[in-house]
Amino acid sequence: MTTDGPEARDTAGGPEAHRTAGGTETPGTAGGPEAHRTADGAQASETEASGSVGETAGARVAAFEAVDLTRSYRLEGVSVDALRGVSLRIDQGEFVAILGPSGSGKSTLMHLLGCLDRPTSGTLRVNGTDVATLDDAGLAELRNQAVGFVFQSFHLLGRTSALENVALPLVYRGVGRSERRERARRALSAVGLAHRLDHRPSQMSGGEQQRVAIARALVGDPKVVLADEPTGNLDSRNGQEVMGILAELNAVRGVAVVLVTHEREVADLARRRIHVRDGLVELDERSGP
Amino acid sequence: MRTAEALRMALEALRVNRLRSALTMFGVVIGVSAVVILVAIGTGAKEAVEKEIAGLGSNIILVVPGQVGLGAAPTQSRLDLTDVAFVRRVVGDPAKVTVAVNSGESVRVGRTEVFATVTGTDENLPNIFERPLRRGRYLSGTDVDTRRRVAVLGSEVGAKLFGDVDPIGRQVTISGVRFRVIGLYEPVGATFGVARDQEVHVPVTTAQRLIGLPRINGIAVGASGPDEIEPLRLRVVQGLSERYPGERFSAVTQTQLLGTIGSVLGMLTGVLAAIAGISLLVGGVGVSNIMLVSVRERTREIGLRKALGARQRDVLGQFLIEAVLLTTIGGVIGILIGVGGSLLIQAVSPVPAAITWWSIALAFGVSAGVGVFFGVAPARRAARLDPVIALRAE
Repeated sequence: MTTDGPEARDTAGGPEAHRTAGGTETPGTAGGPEAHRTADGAQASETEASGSVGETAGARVAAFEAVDLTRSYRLEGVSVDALRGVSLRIDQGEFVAILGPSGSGKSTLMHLLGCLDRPTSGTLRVNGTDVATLDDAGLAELRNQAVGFVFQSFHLLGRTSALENVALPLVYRGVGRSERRERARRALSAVGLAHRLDHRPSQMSGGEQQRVAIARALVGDPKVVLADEPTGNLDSRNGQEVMGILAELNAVRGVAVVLVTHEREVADLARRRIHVRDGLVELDERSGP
Repeated sequence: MRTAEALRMALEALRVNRLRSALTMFGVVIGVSAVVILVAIGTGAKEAVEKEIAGLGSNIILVVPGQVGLGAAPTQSRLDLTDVAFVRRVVGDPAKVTVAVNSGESVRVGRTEVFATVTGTDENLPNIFERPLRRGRYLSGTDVDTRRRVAVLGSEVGAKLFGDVDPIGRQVTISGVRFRVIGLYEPVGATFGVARDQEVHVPVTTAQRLIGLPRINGIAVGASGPDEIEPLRLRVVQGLSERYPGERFSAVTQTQLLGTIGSVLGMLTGVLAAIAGISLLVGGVGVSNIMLVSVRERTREIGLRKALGARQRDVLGQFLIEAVLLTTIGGVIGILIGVGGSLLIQAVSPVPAAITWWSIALAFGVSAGVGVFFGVAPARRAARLDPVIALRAE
């Protein structure tokens, strides 16, 4: 399950750099997340950074708080452990990149954070809500309210205008049609697509389509935007543009951005990089922008 | 999600796949129009027969020897005119009792010859049966008493023998005996396949001599009101049974006829509706099939909608509404075609068709029900899709 799709691209691209980097920095891979953190040279700066976020945020709850998350699948009778005990905290307003090779579990982690999936064990709090306490409808509501998704393949509805695509999350929030359209218009303007409201995805470039997708992620005013390989299907120029929008979103609006990527230069835009390998957090490094 | 929103979405989805939606609807259209048309024909047939029975006259009791029923063998009559007199005494009002003796005879004018049912009857016939005259007069008591050779012609017999010529006063030959025409009936149509316009009425006494037997075939009694029918029927049957111990007599009322015929035709209508219902069922299976295909095709869309906050019941509702919309739109078109078809059948064929509101309501209700029933499985499948897997679908 975790080996197909976007992650398959990892093998083709430059994940070797991450692997060697992770490998050299954390020789004791088997020691679990805690071992990574202590072995990590950036440990000191991490506590510092989270401290500073905590100060600016006051008593704010974490966007994500995961304790010992595991996720196992049964694939044709064989149990596959995609995540083997991940603990992490992502605060509101952070800009985080999740890196890892194919099959590392980074997409599974992303799905758990996005409430598209439930952990096999462990605790996950999203905006302070323990997802284990939520039923299907509650989980859907959390996805709708707290999280905005940006996918590698855009996932726009092909026969629907940009405006309608962007307004879609509000449909499930029960927002009336005129308000939906107004908010979608504003979100599209925010990503520089005010002139493309009635265009269909097929009439737009890849970069524009991804910007529509970002507008859709934004329209519901989420605390976090989860972006799964957002530049994976774009050329470098469009990729930079999209990353610029995400960075601006984070800086100006204070929306936390969590992106899964295998591209080093994309990951370098983030102030924090979480390296995932074999279902565990291998390295959690921070850098001040 | 609001219902209006779901409806808009479903309409959009159907619009996108116009041809497929149309073809899927087609199955439902055929089923629903078949239900409406066949029920209309069944109901029309029933109404036509009921009208025929009612058209005989009101509150009539037909007394015949033996047992009457579907499949009962005809019984040799032993009734004669003295029994008619007896029944008249039992009933109390002689004018409300008439008699019939029937025989198939050839009726001739010059070289024109028709085969007709020659019925011997009396002056009381018009008191009991609806048998309006176009020309001339009815049989009179004197005609009966004096065995006059006079005849009143059914409209068809009159038309065939005389065309547009006024037959009153002219001669007809019935099995070699000359009769004078004294009256011509208005057309009244057929009852139970008996073409009453092909009858020739002559005095019962004359008819008995013509046939050569003193027997009569039956006695008809007119009751003064609907409440009178049953007691009168019992009195007549009891009287005749006492007069002829060990023999059976039957007295059939219109209500009984209506009941029997009505239930048979009701059954027929039911069978027709059931056959049509099967085609509606097949249409429903088509809807189910297409919805499953649609769910598979739109797996990614479903995954996306779920990622954006659609709950299971939102997705369920979306696909269910789509299925129901397919069948109800198909249902409405089917009803229009069914009504149009029924009117056409009514207009151009001898088959009577009566459109009933209940068949339309039923057809619409069933088509909506078919949508729900056959839409649930695909919609549930869609609702239960794992968003992670669905988002990765091709």
